[in-house]
Amino acid sequence: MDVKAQLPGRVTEVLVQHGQAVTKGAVLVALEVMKTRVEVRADRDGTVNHVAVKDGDEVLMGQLLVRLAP
Amino acid sequence: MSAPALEVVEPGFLSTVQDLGRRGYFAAGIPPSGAFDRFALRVGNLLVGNPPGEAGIEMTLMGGRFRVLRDTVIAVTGADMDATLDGAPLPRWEAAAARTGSELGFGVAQAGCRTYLCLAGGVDVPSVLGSKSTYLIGKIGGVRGRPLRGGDRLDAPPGARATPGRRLTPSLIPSYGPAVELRVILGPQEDHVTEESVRTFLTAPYKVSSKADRVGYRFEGPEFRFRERAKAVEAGSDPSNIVDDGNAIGAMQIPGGKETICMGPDGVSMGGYVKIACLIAADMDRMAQARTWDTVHFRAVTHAEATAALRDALARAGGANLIG
Repeated sequence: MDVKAQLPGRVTEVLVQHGQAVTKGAVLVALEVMKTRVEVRADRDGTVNHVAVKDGDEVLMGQLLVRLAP
Repeated sequence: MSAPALEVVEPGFLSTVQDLGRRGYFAAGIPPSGAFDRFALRVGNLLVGNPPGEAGIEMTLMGGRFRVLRDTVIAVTGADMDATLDGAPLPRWEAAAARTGSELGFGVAQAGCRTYLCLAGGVDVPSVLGSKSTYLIGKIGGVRGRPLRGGDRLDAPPGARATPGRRLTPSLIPSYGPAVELRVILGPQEDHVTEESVRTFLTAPYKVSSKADRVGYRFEGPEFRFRERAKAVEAGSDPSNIVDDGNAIGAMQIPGGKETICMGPDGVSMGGYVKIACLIAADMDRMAQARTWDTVHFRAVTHAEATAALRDALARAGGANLIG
């Protein structure tokens, strides 16, 4: 499942790595959106099988952040 | 007497109560606040039969959900957040009847950045220093000086008469896009940077940064180069320092020459940095609708052009431009 940025901003923290198991509600990525920290969370349990961004990246609305399997 | 008219179910990313601001206290450090896009608030109010400076709700980037607590008339203006009333698309720039129990929904801004929700009678929150506007840093105005939260109930005076279907002349509906031109008046300290830097400022593309908010809109772009000058020790060690002086709303500081910060409605009243230019008042609305990573070009105009542009902007927000 693709986890995408809902709002445009800058990646300030990537909290997961490839292969990591995450539970629903875990913070995956933190973004700075209009000077506010926005935490992007997993909406279900899964395993990270792709991290598409790194610290400092600019992201646009709808841009892929993390992919969860299954 | 006022009665609850609207309940906040979800507030969205950042939603505050704003009118046209708190005038007369900037010398004491209290900024005007108020709607960032004043055209959108003025038109929203006129559509629902309010005076143009009544308070409405300003939503940012992602709107909220609201429950209508009694029959009223509403209008949505500004950015397109896919507004719905009981699931049906709600046109912007047009007054609509909303029945008791209805739900108003807003999504992510499809174009633009800020959306205004106005309701007949306005939003009845206490006036602080002459305004209902929320000033978040000062924690005054609006609903207890803070953004709206789920469960907040907003009062509106009953008995307001409004005409559903009233709408703005279509040719005056602004379009928002990822490329924005903002007009500025150079100065007062543009002579602190090289002529080449001034030229670059007026020709190069800048990007709205992820730090842009109501206090200041930050832009990323080419760095400024400063002229050789006599050391003004009292001003500070960096060439971008000046002896502190007053800011206008719209003043554009260049700390370190590395970024450009344009004072928004919650801007600070003083600063110790060179101000390369000042955004003209008529274009504050356009800046309000620019969002992170949008491209901005700055164009220099004269005082006379700025004044004419403001007169034109105010005329466009007049009641004569409504249909119905």
